[in-house]
Formats: sequence, structure tokens, C-alpha cells
Amino acid sequence: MVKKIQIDYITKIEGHAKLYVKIDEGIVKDVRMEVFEGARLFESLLIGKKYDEVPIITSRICGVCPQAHSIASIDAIEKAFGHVPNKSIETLRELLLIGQIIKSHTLHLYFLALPDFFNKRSVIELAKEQKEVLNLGIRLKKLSNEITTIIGGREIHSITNIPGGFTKAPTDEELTTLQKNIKSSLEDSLEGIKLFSSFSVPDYSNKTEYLYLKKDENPNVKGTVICSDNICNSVEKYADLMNEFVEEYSSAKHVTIGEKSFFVGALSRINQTLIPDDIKKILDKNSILFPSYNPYYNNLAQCIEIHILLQKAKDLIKKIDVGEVFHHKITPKKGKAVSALEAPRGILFHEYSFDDKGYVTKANIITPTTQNLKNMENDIMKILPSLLDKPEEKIKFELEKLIRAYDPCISCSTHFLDVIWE
Amino acid sequence: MGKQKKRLGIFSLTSCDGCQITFLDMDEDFLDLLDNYEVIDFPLIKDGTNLFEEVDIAFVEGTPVNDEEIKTLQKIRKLSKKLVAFGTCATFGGVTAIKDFSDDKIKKEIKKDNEYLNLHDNIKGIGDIVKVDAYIRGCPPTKFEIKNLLQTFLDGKEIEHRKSPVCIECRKNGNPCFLKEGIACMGSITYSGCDSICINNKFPCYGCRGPVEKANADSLFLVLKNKIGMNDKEVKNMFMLYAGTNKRYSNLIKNG
Repeated sequence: MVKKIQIDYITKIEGHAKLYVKIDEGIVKDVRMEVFEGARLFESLLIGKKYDEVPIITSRICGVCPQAHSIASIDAIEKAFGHVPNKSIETLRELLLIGQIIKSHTLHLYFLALPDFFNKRSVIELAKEQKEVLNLGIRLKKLSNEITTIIGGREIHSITNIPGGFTKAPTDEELTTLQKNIKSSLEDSLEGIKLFSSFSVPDYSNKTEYLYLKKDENPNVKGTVICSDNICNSVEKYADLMNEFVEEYSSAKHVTIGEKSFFVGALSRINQTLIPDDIKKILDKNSILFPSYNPYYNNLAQCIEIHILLQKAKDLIKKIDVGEVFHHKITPKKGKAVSALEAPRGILFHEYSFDDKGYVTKANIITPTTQNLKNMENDIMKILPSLLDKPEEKIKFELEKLIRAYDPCISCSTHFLDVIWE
Repeated sequence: MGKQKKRLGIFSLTSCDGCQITFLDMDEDFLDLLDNYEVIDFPLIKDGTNLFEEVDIAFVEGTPVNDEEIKTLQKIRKLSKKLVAFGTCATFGGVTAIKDFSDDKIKKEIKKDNEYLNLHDNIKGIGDIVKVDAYIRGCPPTKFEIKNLLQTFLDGKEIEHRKSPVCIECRKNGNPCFLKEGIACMGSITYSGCDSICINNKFPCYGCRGPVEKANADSLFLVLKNKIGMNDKEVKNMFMLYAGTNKRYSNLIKNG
């Protein structure tokens, strides 16, 4: 008997996608994450644009991770033109990226994923009974917005960070206040870890390649080497590693390494991070061990990452000399460069070629969600047999929970178009 | 019995989702809204979305790029007493529309790859497809305007349109004038309401809110070319960035 399960609109993820599953005689025959968000063809509409408009446009790829895109653009532009930013500008960009990751994580964890664990349909229902828990999320999200606003000028689609530096520097007073607010929110971020480690997740593991970025031998949100337990590949040669292709059922591209799916994102990064004792204690209580290859733990990994990144932000602020933060004039030149950074959902690549006047002649962008799509489909295929004796509604709920754990960003995944320029 | 709550729907077509995120970034204010509004549809945060139920007011973010999304938009229109174009993409097509201004070489490439994407080649604001009752412009829109619109709707009043450009807000904020410094800025023709946030942050206005009613776009176009010294391509790129689909800008981009 052939059974089909279809979720026509996967809610509580960013963007529009559906899931289609086909089962024949108890065997899963087909799993498709069908992205039906319209494509926006960013890589083609960038062609002919001058370099200074590039980060403005790429920021609009995603309202959840706009700073990740604009910073990736700016890094690649400066690299192509041979400009090296000073330490304070570099540090401020890293801080902005950290604020961005925390914003995206808190939004996903507390507004989209949390209702699942309380068997509620939405954060609106959750707010009625779990006000305290939601307030915790709101406080953390506000702090992340404070970071992105002080540095970038506003919460979504930053204004100040442009090729060459920043149009406006934060003041010492602003940074001191931010430092203080970060310190006092560390209790909240630990509370979040306690909360999410108390939720039970299905016993499942699928050890594919878990990729992350490394800089000077350490995992870092801005990196030069793409790593996993078995892979070590320079960012410049990302195209040799990644196999990008089209599945006709989806307006998003898919990516594999060779033929194999892989994982990027918070879980991959936390697997490589030395977990501090205070967090370890909480995890031990619930018998949770990292590294883990259970994608359901991506939520918890995001919680841990919020705490660790807040600690890091505290240290970074100390290194910023606001007197060094300004806008350097940069001179376009013909060239090509690639940049990679850890966006909230995993490694993000931006690559551009410019002509001698600084106009884009070629652009390639690979987002984390496109990298995770195949792994997500494979996980669904593997988990599904254990769910088949359950009622259809329950199966759908469990699959949606898995998809949400990946925190897919569909808007980010649909901007492809292969344009080959001679 | 308490007062009857207004039924609210928040929908998204092709977009970056940033307008919806702005809604959620209202935080406590968002939760307070729920005293007066019942959220019927809001797929970003709520399941059970089915587009079967009528709503009093619908916010539509993004722009339709294919037949399917046009049908969705028409369905939303049918189910909604009032429909709000939410953000720059919904108002003008936003960055999604830039591709339609591409030169023939790029258009040819797009056509090749468009066989199964079925994208339209005339992206526009939703007001050109269905009747729109109110607009919230901006990329992203401001929280204040969202709150204000929902309150105005509760009070049963009409939304007032702004007649002044960003320039007026900018001067009030005491910013030096970019144009006078020889730097391109669209604040003089752009619909206000953003409190000149970009210029306050020392970045010129790129016109994300589109033209104000009496905007003299032609004159600014010439100033940017002749006085600021931008080349033809640079000026056109600037005009097409967010609101290129409105007639005054598209004429300049095509013929200017």
C-alpha cells in the first residue's frame, strides 16, 4: 500500500516550504522539502551594480540574518580590492555578527520552536500560560537588538556598516552600557540552557560531516578554513568541496559534498567548542553529552551558543577603540574574492568578481539552509520508519519539529540562479 | 461579555520576512495588541494556517512573483475587510523587482533558467494587482507605523498620508545635508516617516519608502547627474533599488 503524507505549509519556520513523503509497504520511498517561496535571483540582479550597493542589496536576502549577509559582502569586497580593515573595525563587525546570531537564535527558540515543547500552537497561546518563559526570550532578543542597533544603526538591515568601515562609531558610553547589559543577561542565557535541556528529544543520531569555520586553529564565527572531523579545506576553495545542484521540485538549490549530505549550524559549532563548567553541570543533570549528532539538539546548541557568544562579546567590546572606527575610502580594482562566515544557521559564502570600476561581473552566494536541505531530507527518511505506527497528525507534528530544529531559513535559500559569464 | 476582538491576518509573499520580524520585534507591544486583536493567520509563528477564515485586517508582506502567489494574494483580498501593503516590497516590489530592469544579456540568462521557476518579468507592488486600503512603507517599516495603523483601525479612522519628504525630518534632526556636501541622497523626494534614520546614522537616503506625492524626481535625477557627477548607470541603479516600479522612477530609468 502506498501512503502519502503531505504538509502543505510548514509553519513556524522562516519562509515558505512544504514537505512531501511517500511510503510504500512501510518503506520510505521519497522525501522532498519543496521550497515554494518565489526565487529572487539575487546573484543575477547584483550583476552591473557598483560595489557600494552590494551589501545594501544582499542584506535584503533575509530579514532574520541581514547583518550576516552584509558583513559577508563587505568582507569579500574589501578582499577583492586589497583593503585590510583595522583591528577595531574588524572587531566591531564580529560583534555585530554575534548580535545577529543571538537575535536569530532567540527569535527561533522562543517565538517559533518553544510552543512545540509545551504542546501549544503558537507563541500567542504560549504567552497566556508561560509568560515568564516568554519574557526570558524577549529579554534576550532585546539585548541582541541593542547590540545590532548600537553598532548597525537599527535592528534589521543595518545602516552604518559599509565597505571601508562604519559611517558612525558607537560612543564609549554606549559600549559601556552594552557591556553592563550583557553581563546582567548572562543569568538569562543560562536559564535558557536549563529550559531547553529539560525537554526530551527523540533518541537519534546521524553522523554526517559536521562543518564549521576555523581561524588560527580555533572555531570562529569568521574563519579561513572549512573543517569537520575529516575535512580541512580553505575557504577560497569552497567550490571544490561543495557540489551545488538543482532539484526540480524546489526553488532552492541543494548542496552536497561528493554525493553526501552534511550539517552546518549551531550544533556543528558547539560540537567543536569547549563547554564551560557551569553549562556542563546543567547538561550532566539531564545526561546530555556533546559532541552530538542528533539534529534535534540543534535547539539546545543554539541556547548554549547564545551564552558563550555573550561572554565573547563582553571580551570583544574591551578591544574596541572607538577612535579607530570610521570610514576609510577604498579604491575599486579588478578582482575576485570569496568570504565565509558563520551565519546563525551555518556557513555562509559570498563570492564576487569586479571590473576595474568596481561593478559586479559575477556573484555567487551559498547559504547555510541550502547546505542543510539534503541532510534534513535524509534525517526525515531515517526517522520516519520509527513513527509510522503513530496517527498521521502525530507523524506530521514530529517531522515539523525536526525541520524546525534545523531552523531553516527559506528566504535565504531561494535566491539562486546560475549565470555563467564568459 | 468582553468587547469583540478584531480579526488579524499577517501574510507573506516572496520577501525577506523582515517586515514580519519588525512586527515581532515590537515585543511587549505585540503581546499588548492581543488584547484587541485575535491573530487568525500568521504562518511565521502559528500553525493551522489555511487561508479559509475571514479577517478584519490583513497585512501582506512581500510581492507576488508567480501565478500561484497572485492567486494567494487575490484569496487574501477576498477574505479581508481591509488590506495593508506591508513594507516596500508589497508597496513597490522592492529589491525583487530590480531584475526586471536588467539589460538584455542578463534577461536572456534569466529566461533560460526560468523554465521551471515560472517567475513573472513584471514584478510590482500589490496595489497594482488588488485593491489596497493602506500602505506601510519602508525597508524595514518602523514599529511606530505598525502600531499607529492598528490603533487607527481600532478607532475606525482613516490613515493619513504624509505629504512631506524625509528632508523635513532630516532638517529637524539637525543633520548636515548630503547633497550640499556633494553626496547623492534621495531624502528630498522620499516619503517620510522613518525619522531620517539612515541620515542620522551618516548614511544617505536611498529612497526605500518611494516617492512622496509631490516629489520632483526628474529634478533630483538631473542634480545627481549634473551636480553630484554620478554617471547614468549609477543614478539609474539608485532609482531602481527599492521603488523603481513606480511610474515616475521607471520612466527615468528607461528614458532618463
